[in-house]
Formats: sequence, structure tokens, C-alpha cells
Amino acid sequence: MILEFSYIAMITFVLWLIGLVFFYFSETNRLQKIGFGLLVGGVALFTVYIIQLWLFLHRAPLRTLGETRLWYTFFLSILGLVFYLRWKYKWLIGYSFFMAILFLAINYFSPENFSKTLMPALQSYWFVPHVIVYILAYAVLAVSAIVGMKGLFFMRKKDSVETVMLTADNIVYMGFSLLTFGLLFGALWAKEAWGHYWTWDPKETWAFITWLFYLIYIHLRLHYSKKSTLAFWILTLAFVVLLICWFGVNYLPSAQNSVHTYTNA
Amino acid sequence: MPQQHNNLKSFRESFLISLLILLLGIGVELFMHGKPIEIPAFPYNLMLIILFLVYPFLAKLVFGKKIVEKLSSVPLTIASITIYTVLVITMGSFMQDNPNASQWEQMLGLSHIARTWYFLFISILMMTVLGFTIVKRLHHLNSIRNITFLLNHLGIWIVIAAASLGSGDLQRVKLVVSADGANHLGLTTTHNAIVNFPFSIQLDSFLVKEYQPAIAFINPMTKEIIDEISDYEINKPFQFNDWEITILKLYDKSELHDSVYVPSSKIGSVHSMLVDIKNASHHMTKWLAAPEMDKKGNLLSLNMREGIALLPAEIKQFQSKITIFDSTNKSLQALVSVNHPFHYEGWDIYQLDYNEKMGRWSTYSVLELVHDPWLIPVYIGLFMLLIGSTLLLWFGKLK
Repeated sequence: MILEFSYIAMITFVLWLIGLVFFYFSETNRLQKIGFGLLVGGVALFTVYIIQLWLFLHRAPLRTLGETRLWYTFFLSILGLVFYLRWKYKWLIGYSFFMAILFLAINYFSPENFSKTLMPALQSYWFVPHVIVYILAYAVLAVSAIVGMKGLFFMRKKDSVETVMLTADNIVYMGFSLLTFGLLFGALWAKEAWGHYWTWDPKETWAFITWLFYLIYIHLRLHYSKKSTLAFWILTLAFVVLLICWFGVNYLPSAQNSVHTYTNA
Repeated sequence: MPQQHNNLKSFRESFLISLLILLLGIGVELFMHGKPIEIPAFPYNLMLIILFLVYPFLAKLVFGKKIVEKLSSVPLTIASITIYTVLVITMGSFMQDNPNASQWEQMLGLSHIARTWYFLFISILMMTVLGFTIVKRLHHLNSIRNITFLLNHLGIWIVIAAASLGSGDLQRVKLVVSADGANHLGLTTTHNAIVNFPFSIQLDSFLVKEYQPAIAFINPMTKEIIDEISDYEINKPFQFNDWEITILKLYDKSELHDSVYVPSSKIGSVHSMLVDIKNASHHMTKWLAAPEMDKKGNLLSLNMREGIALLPAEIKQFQSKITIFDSTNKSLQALVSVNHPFHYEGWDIYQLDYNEKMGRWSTYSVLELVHDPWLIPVYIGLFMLLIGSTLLLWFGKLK
């Protein structure tokens, strides 16, 4: 192999770290742009690494847990850049790159886990897209929950509820769309893997419940913009449901036979 | 501009209507002793969908715009979705299709909520509101906002309608295939009813690809796994604590013959390896075998705290090479594996299961055959939702 992962990971990490520092802490616009450029540079380098790995393996690098983490790093960084360009929320960059670096670090520090194998059910082109949109959705909606709690507990009379609500709305639309993709990709994958696109499996059911909560929030916000307290509560509650879906399902007695109870995915 | 006065009254009204419909549904459910609803097959399910499609337009014609306003109001939307969500939460909290459900769980339909009368009634309420909402906006295709709105709302309507009513024609059948003759009799997964296929399937070979078994370092007293190595290679020494380990021989199918493992293809053959283990004071060459079928494998104790053994090999892929014989005895060969079903005469053939006790030596394979004529309409709805969500993701909340 021409490019060694540990060197690429190191260089990418350094580029991103310096990029983030310039992006957030520089005084001039020019330095900020350089920071952004360094982030893009790191992404480009990582892209080259994945391509050459693909060519070297003569197959898509999608068969081990470590390989899937490469894709998480890739998509989290790229989508962070894309969403920032679209929505201009500076925190989006730090957030997505933090997660991208996290997965990079996991791969860097445990090379023996890199080749930890994927079971047959997970060997599919749907695996990475399905997981990525959910990682992003959960990350974005976590921010909306923070905004919700800010609205409930930390607003002072002089703060403008309107601006906070507007931020929450934009974030929820982003998160909700990603949740929808997650459900749809999951359904399309389920048809390929298990014979039917929807079987009311506990994980599916709770993913649907999470989706419904944010659906209710969106409808409430569209027509009852004055009910901000109720909206903030629903936002917070919806995130609790999301956490139940993410972690709680594995502990439900009804879920023990579920295909979604993965142990070390 | 949306109406914001009187909204408390209309919210209360909407929740009341929704709750009444829910209670009515619970009443019917109790009256029917919790017997699960069976969705009718073609052509009755198609007739129901057409009825469902047409009645909002008919209602608008007969009762005028007012009914469309009332039945597409936002309070009613929120109320119906909320009650629907409560029911789905109940579904997520009680084990569905639980064979050990208590009597009251069965009576109330808690173990099969998706097939209860109250779920049906609330779904119809929600789909009614959705239907009228779509009808109201169908005339306005002039902006991204409206196109996004229609794609998402119509998309979800189609998915729910086609998936629920289509389940009347859905068939999922388990078929056990082996090398002793072709099988044409399967059992449905829901009712264990016999299905006689117009074709038969024979298993030519059941192929299992395994990863090489992991070498585990185990505490011989506590049997706790201290460490594992999966990516080892023959003749490439590696370290564990102060031990240097080299794999001299590696077989994926072998049997014990005079204290030595030799390659074999007999049923029940095991993964084995000859390891050379040494440190400053000890040096040994021993055989290790991985657990397979009813054979336990062996744990080599190096001392009181360290031992080495092979873990059972993990499965990389399992697939069935089959021959399908049609009614004229014409045959077709196919390969069915996980995530790669084979399509034949309107049926999708999936690799479902095999004899897990025998593992890669399984003499039979369990296939699942699925017939879903309503798949295309569901996919059309899903596709609309995909596009609608992409637009929503990019444009966000549009005025």
C-alpha cells in the first residue's frame, strides 16, 4: 500500500486542527478563509486515501468495522462543510469535524479493531448511508434540544424568543429530513436484507416515534408560532424519545429478538 | 394568514373528536375479543384504496369547501398525529406478536396493535386529514414550497395506504431446501399455513465463508478472555506478554488423527493450527482446534494466568446454490445470499436461515420467499418522500 493509514490520519488531523483554530479564533476574514481551506484540504487528502485503499483492495472498503469508520470520517467532514455553506451556522463545522476526528482517532488508536469483521447482514452498500444520516440527524437534533432547554430555562426577558425559535426551526428541519432519510434508507435496505421494508421491529417503531414527535413539533410551529413554551417542551421531550430509540431499545424486554440489537457495531 | 384566535377551542374540539374515535375503536376491539384484523386481498383492498382516494373529492363536491377546511385543520392534524403517536408508543412498549401475551393483552389487542380496530380508526382519521390537506393544496403547484409540501404529504399518504392495504396481498413463505430432492411446499411466516408453489427448489450446496478463527488469550482459572488476535498470518511471529508465538500450520477443515490434525473434508471438520510458543524459559509446539458443532476445541494452559485457545470462526457470508424446477421441469440455477435475494416469477427469494448447530456443515437451508405486488406503489411514495426530504433539507422552512 502506498499510503499508510497512520500517516494520513496524522496529517489529516493536523490540517483539521489548525483549520479549526484559524476558522474559529482568527480576527480577519482572510485567515478564517484559510482555516476553511485547510479543512477542505484535509478532506481532499482523506478522499485520496479512501480511493487508493479501494483500488488496493479491489473492492469497496466496506467489510470491516474500521473501514466503515473511514466512511463516517469522510461523510461527517464533507457534510459538515456542505451544511455550513448552506446554513452558515459556525458551530456546525466544529461539531461535524469533532465527530469526524473522533472516528479517525478510534481507527488510529485501535488498529487491531480495524479488521474486526462485519456480519453478513451488515455487508451492504446501505450500511454506511443509513448509519451516517442517523449520526448526523442525532447530532443536529441534540443541538435543537440544547436550544429547547435554553428556551425553557435560560432565557431572560430581554432575549428575543423569536431568534432562538428560528434557529431551532432550521435545525429541526435539517434533523427531521435526515431522520426521514434514515427511515427510508432503512426500509429500502430491509427489503434487500430481510424480505420486507417494515416489520414494526422495536428499533423501527421507536425510530418512527422519534420521527412523529418532530413531525408534531413542525406542525405546531407552522401554525402556532406564539406557543413558544409548548414548542420548547416538545423539542426537549422529542430528544428524550430519540435517546430511548438510540439506547433504550436494547434494554427493552420486547426487543431481545430484534435484528437491531447489535453488540459491537 | 393562519387563524390563531379560537385556537384553544379548536384544539380542545380536535382532541375530543380524536379521543372519541379512539374510544369507539377500543369498544369495537373489546366487542371483537381482540381478534386481529385481516386486511382483505385483491380486489377488495384495491376497492378500498380507490374509495379512500375518491371520497375527499366527493365530500368537497357534496358538502363544499367548508368540510375540506374542517377536516384539514391544523388542530385536527396535530390531535390525530398525537393520538396515533401514543398508539405507536404503546406498540413500542409491549412486545408485539408475543406468543406468551397475557389474556388482557390479547383482549385489548396490545400484542398486535397494528391489527386492532382502534389503530385502524385512528389511522383512517389521520389519513382523512392528510387526504383533505393534499386536496386543498393540489391546485397550487407554483412554488418550491408547495411542491415540497405535496411531495412529502402525498408521498406519505401513498406509502401508508399502499403498505397497509397491500399487506392483504403480501405473502411471506419459509421454504426448507436440502440436497435430497426439490421442495415445493412452504409455510407462511404469519399463520404457518401451507403454500404449494408452482415450482420447486433444490439445494445444490450450502456455502459458508468464514473468517479465520480468532486466537484468544484466556485466563485458565477464570476463563476470562484477556486479548484476541484476528489478523494473524502463517510464519509471522507475534508477541503476547512475554511469549513469542508463530503459526506453523493452519487448516480450515481438519480432523484429529494420531494426536495430529490433518486436512479433511468430512462433516464436522474443524479449524486447527499448529503453534510454536516460546519465552525465556519455555518452548512448546502444540495443536489448537476451534470449537465446531459439538466439539469444544481445546484450551492450552501456559501457566496459572495465561492460556491460549481458538474462538469459533465467525461467519463472513452464507449462501445457497439452488436449482429451481418449473412445472415443465425446466431448471434454472441461482445463488441466494444475505443482502442479495434472487427474483423468480414474482417471488423474491431470500437466504434466511440454516442449521445453526451444524453451522457450515448444515445439510439444509431455509429460504424465505416473498410476494409483494404492492411494492411498486410503496416505492413510488418512498421516492416522493426522498425528493421531498431533500428539498426540505436544502430549503428548510420556506415562507
